[in-house]
Amino acid sequence: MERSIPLSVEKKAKTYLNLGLLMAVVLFCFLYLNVNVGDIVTALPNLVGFLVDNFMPPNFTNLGVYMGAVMDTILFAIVGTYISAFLAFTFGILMSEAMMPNPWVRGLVRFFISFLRNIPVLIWASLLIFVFGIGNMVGLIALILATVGFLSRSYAESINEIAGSKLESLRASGAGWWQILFHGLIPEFIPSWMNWTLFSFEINIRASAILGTVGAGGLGILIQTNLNMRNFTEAAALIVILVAMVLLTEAAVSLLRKRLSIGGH
Amino acid sequence: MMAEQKIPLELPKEKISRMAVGIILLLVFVLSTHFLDLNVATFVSRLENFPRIAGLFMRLNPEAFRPGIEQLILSVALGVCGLAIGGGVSFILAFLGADNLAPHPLFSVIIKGFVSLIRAIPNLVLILMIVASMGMGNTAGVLGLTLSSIGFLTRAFISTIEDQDTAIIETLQATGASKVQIIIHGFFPNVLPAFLAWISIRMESSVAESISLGVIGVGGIGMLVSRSIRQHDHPTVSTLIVIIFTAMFILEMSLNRVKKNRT
Repeated sequence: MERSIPLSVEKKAKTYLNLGLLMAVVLFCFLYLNVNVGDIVTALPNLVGFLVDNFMPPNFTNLGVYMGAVMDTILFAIVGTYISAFLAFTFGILMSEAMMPNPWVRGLVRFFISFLRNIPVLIWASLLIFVFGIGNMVGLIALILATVGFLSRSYAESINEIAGSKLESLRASGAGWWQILFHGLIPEFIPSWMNWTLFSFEINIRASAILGTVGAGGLGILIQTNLNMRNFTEAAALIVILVAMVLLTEAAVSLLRKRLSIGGH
Repeated sequence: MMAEQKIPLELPKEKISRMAVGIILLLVFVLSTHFLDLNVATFVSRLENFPRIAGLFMRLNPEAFRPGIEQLILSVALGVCGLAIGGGVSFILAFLGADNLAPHPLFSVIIKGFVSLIRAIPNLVLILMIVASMGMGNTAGVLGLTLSSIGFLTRAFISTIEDQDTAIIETLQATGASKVQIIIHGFFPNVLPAFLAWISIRMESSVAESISLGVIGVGGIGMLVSRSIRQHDHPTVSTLIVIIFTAMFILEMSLNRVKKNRT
């Protein structure tokens, strides 16, 4: 008599229950939105057809004008990354158990950072524009708010990892807080600091395109305007430039990582 | 008598190179700030209004809770649908595109190229292109979120599959297992925890992106935020911000456990 031996027998019932629950949630979402998967599948060829008909060939006649915006986008990303890296390092120290013994300060900073991180960038940008009006300062601040939220948490995790082993011995030898910071923490922290900061530069290049859509400068605002005015071939040229910029940044950053041999994250 | 001698903590040469790096970094910052031509003066003059406006935000509007939460459910649903379709597509693309499993090397090259192209276009630009083609609406929103989910998940899944030990494939091949059997019994059990972790990470950004899409008019709680901003309805804006933060915070906390499995 042939009998098949199951390859796994662990907790089948519980797995099926979780899976069923998940399926129910997904199904509910589709029904709630009144969206069906068939529409999405048929929309895709239409979309590609529309893009080919209207966006091709990209119109690069205003390239000179675009270069200014490209420059702005890069400068926004550089300045944004610098300021966020500095702020995030301060917040990271205030959030880490090793460097900040006071649990109240830690908790308060953690809450503040979580608040920054959990409100999407575009919501921050719209709020800032509402309060301060349109301008490149507002774009820069929105960029910084978004990056600080993400960087502070990453920095704090790295600081805690370092602190676990290295800083105890310094403390035992009688080093003060500032001595521990400058001679113990910072030298050890530099590789992961560079790694996360380069990563956030990549994100910032992308994000400055997002900020443009709410009027905060860079390439994004040109893309938004041209799409709204249905100048699709010009929009296509701008999107090509943006994609090239993002890919170049990625390549440059990964080259830099290899040179500095700090590995991925 | 013993002379007091100080031992320097770092060599003079190291000190010089460190200072050089510091000066270069500072120079880049100063020059970039200079060329960016920030309108600081205007900003500072508007900063005077800040305490007054901040005061206006210090109230909540209890009546905004109900519509806010209804629209939040819409935003979350958009995020879930985009993630569900995107996750399914990425699953298939990843098994076809991973170096160690691709039916033909060309599959791997094409899939990876397509995915890095999608990743290079910011999600919002992608959505604007979709909206230009098919107009605003839930389908446009889901399609946009699907594409950006595919961009993130396919790459993540592929890196997980490529990290698997090739010994598994060889052992199973030796026992005479077919390609499909190798994938189902050799790969699924090993990669599933990591896949779930990637999906949870993407879940957070999918919902965040969906809320952002609202701001440009796709629908959901983001749209309520931009509408209340236009109507200068400060208490409603504050209420919506509180709802968004609470929801994102709960999402983050509840997904933390699954996210740890990422390898």
